[in-house]
Amino acid sequence: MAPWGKLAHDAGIWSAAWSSKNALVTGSLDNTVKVWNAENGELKGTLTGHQLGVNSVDTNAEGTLAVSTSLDSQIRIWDLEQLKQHKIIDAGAVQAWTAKFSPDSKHIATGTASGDINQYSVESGEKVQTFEGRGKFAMSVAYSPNGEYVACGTEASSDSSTVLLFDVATGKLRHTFKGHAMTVRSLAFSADSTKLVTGSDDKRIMIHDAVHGDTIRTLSGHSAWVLSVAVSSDGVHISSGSSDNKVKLWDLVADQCIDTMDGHSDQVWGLAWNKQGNRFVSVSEDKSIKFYSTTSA
Amino acid sequence: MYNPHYSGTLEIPLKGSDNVLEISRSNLPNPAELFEILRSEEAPLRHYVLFALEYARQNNVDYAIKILADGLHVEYDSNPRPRLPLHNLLASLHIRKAYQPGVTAQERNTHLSDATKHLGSAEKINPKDDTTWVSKGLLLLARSSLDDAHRHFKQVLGENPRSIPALLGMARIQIIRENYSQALTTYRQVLKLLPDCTPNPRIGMGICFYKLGMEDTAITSFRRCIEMNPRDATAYVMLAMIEFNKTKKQDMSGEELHDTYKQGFQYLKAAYDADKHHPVAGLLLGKHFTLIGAPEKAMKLALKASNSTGLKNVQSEGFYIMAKISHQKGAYSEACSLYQKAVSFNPDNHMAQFGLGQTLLFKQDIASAITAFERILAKEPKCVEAIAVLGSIYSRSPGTKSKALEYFDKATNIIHERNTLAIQDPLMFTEMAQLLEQTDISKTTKAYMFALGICSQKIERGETVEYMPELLNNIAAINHMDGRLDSAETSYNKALDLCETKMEENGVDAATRATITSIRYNLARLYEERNEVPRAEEIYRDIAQKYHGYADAHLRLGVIEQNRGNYEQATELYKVVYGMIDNKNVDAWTLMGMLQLNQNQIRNSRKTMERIVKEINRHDVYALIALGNIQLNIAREEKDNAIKQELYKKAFEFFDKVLKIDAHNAYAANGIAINVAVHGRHKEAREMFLQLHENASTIPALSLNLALVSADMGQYMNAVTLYASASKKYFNDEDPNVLLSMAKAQYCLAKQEKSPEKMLEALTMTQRALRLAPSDKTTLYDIALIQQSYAQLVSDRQSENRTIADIKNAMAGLGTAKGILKSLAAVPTKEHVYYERDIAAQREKHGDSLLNILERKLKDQEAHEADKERQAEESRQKREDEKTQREEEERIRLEKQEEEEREILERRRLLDLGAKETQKELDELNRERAERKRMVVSDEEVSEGEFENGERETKKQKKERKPKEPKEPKEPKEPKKGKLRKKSEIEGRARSKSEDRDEDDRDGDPTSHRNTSKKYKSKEIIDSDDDMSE
Repeated sequence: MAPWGKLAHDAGIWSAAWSSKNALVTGSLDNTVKVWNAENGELKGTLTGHQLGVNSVDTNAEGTLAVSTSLDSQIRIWDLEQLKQHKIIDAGAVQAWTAKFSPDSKHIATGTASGDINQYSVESGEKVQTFEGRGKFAMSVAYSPNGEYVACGTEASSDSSTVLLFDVATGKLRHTFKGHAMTVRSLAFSADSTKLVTGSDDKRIMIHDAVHGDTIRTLSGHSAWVLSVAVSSDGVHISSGSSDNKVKLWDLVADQCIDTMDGHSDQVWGLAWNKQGNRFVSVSEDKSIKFYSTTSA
Repeated sequence: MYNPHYSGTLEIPLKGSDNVLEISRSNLPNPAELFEILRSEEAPLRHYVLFALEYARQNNVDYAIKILADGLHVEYDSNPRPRLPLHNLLASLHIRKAYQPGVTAQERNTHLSDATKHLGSAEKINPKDDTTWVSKGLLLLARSSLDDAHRHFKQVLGENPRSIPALLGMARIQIIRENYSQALTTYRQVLKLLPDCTPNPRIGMGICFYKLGMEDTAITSFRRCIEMNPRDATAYVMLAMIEFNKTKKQDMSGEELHDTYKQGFQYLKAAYDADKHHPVAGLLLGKHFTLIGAPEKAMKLALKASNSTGLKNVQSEGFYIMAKISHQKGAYSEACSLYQKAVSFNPDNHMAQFGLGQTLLFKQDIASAITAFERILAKEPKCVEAIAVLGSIYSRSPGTKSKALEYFDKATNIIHERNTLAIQDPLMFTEMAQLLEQTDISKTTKAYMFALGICSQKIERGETVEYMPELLNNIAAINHMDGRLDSAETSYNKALDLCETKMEENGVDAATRATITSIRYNLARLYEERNEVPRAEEIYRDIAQKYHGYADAHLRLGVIEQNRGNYEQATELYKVVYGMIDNKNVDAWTLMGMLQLNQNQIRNSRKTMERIVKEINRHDVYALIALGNIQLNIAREEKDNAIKQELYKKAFEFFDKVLKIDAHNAYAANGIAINVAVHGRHKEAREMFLQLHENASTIPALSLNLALVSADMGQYMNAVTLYASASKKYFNDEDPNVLLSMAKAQYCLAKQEKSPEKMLEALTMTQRALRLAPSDKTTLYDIALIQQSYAQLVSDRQSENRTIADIKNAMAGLGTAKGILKSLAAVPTKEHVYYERDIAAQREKHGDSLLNILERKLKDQEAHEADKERQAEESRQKREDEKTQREEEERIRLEKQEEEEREILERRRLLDLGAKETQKELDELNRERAERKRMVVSDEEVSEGEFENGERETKKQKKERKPKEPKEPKEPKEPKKGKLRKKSEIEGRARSKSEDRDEDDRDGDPTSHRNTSKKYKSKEIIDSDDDMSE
């Protein structure tokens, strides 16, 4: 257990990212983004500026920049070395719910209330591309590690088409996955970009074939909404967090739950794996960060 | 009985000579010839006796009686004494005759009265004759007057302790009275006196040994009998019975069992060979034929046994075998009357008694059946089978359910005591489980597990268990209801597999098809619960297509469409059920009413609910509560106060009616409490909610209403605490509306206490709600509103109580609010929003002016803090100054402060005016939102009138009114729901109810097997966890 004990933030922690340079970035309802040394849990800096809760954080491939979004749809890019704001992009109310860096670090993708995915240029801060969704609020967004796809999870829709996968090169909708009956709050690609893992309010996690568009497997086990899913970079594990306050570790190969951690006392909003894929953290509404290692588990 | 010295011939003294006429025993003349000889030779009467005895020994009792009767007519002596033995012997022979096989009851009576008559004559001749007394004893024994018989034998033995017949009679009484060791002593006396006595006392001794647990000694005794008389059928029979009894022991291996039975059968065969008329041998052989499935042979032998007059037990058994054969053939009436005969001959024949009960049940003569089973229990209080059947009978009528449970409990306890599954019928546990489902789910599971255990054992033994799929279905349903979905799924699938196998083996039958449908329906419910909706849909569609009358499949499809917002499709599907399948399907109408409510078609919804109450069931609690709530809603919207009060009264009446039907209905009580609350009697309402909350704390609506009333009473802190715990406890903090209600209470608290800090907490809560449901723009609006209120509070604060950082924070918040309001005002008009765009724009302007004020205040604050700094500096200096100097400084500072305060008060006055304007706008907004969400619990009079105006609670309020579980569909033509039925024996009790937990089992359809747990149905319908059944 890392030394960042119970109260890493003054309010619920909503998002986490683990940079390739071993910095842990967390975003919280307390309007701050905090940067931690993931080795020893030491707080490296508190980044302020957001006026509302920080909804999502991500880091670029080099580990030099972080991006965060707040409830008022402000996108802020932070310099992780100097620990200061690098750029601010105002997307307009509910037009940037969550944001992710593209694997080449050139773009930021964010989902909008109308279900579109907008790509912004990191350099210019301008919107450069739009992937057209299907009208449902885009709750979560993810790039495939090879940069070919961008996927988003949306609010519940009448025809259950809550997971959309776009082709980055053409900008076209490539696959629609209709498995989840309710809102998809979190999604993540496998390291080899062939699988897309989604977590939903319907309590289930689904594994989809990103290439062919089939749903391969459904994982049930959480007793409440699945709020977060993350895939380890070694392609072996999925971790998931839920409003049942539990963190589950799944074997992506065997498709089964191999561990359930109940260290949190409130909703588990975010998860992040380290670059090696052998450690991950969970962050929760209970204001704490928990640390796990799969090698010792 | 009396065994004269045995030789090959009998002699008749020739009249007037010393010579005798020798007559060979093996070649006796007939009685007429014999009588001619005896009479012409004037032979003494004792010779008549000798010949009679010989006839009797040769089993020619009629001849014996004839010759004796003739002898009595010979009159050549006035002395009656020699006639005495004749009377005695005649009496014995008539007794014997009375109990010979094939004697009718009438004949037997004639014989017995003849015997009595002869004993009377004998008594006249010599009242103290031993033989007469013994015979009388035997006669009494035959008539089961044990005490009288005992008196007679005792009398004889008092006179003559060596009287063999009396000793034998005594021993028989002792055996009947189960005094086996005494009987042994008596038999030993006989053996000492007469080692080769017939009947062989060793038979009786063997019985005693066996009864005393000395099985080997018993066997030795019977073998000795056979050594002495190789044709001793009784000894063989006894040996056979010993072997057969061995096979009933539990711990025998299959091979041992086979060998033992074979040995027994050999003895039986020997007995039958020795004496084809031996009643017990015939009976046992009959049983054997029943066992090996040769009913005709068995029937013949049983019929013979049933005619073994005098051997009541044998007769009873004979009838029992015949009854059982008829029972198995399905000839229930015939079986019933045969069982009755069996029981009449031996009321302690429990097997017959049991069969009688079963056949009576089949004939629907429940009362007599109960008597039959209770009779078994009177003698055998621990007869689990009888207890189980009685439990089953009682479980069927609603009034005796507790009695049924008592019986089931008793049976379970006995089974536990014996530590064995004595009951081989899983039905008892199934029924027990079904009864318990309403009260004790852990016991239910246990009972099902018992049933499953029995079934598994049966299957291991290679027996088929035809209701296994149904049992698995029920077990799965229990797991299903308890949320163990994976194990439920496994069991459902296993049950389906078994059905498939069954159909493959036995061909398609309607019952199995019905079972499959039930299981599939349950499986679909499970998929729904797991949110695998497309899978569920596929099944429902298939069922609805194959069995159009399966109402629930249509209804579930409707609910799924409704959840997706496809109200038209949902409406069509509900219509299919009440329009085409069953016009009185309460569930369909209820769902329809709820859907109408959802679409804000209040009047239609009311009509639908009224229809249920008027035309289907005027006690339908669900519809009544819905009507109460609708009335409450209409009352709320009514402007005219007099009409309003009238409408509230009506609502109250509905809830009152529900409470009369179900005094513990928390939903109705909740409704009444709401009514009290809207009449402004908050304190009273709060008391009611509190009480309800204590008693039915599992109903989230109650926690929420309690919180609401607390807020209405201005107890905001309380309200916030209640909302927070309800949100966590019932909603996993997943319901944005609960969080918003909490935020509203917090907002009011912050206003009340004029605390910017508390206002920030309201902001936090609202942000959490937004995170959950980001597409709700109204929440975003709330965030802007709260930020402005925060700014206002900071602005209103005295400089001493705030910091520059506070003001800067407030200003930044105003900036965020401005951005939000601007975009909200700019939302394209084609998108429907729940706020007024104009007001958002006005709000934005209001924010601008607030910002201006704050900018000024920031300067003041900076000045103030600089001032404070300077003052601190000065005071430090002052401390070094003289006392008089300090006084002077103090005066100047106070003056300054007074001035400042005046200025602040002036500004506040201005601001209050501004706030009132805002308030008006908010009221407008709230009215609009109230219309959208309809069911507002708190009335204008009692609401805060600010921020949300209680309409979030309203949403919850509505949720409590979610439709009840669709109940048993009336009678879908096809398929019949799965049956748990065991055809042959226990036909009467074969019955199984679905896992429906609904108390209000209105049609009592015993065949239904659907899983109709409200828990999940309701959840699907309106996305709430609370349930409103009991």
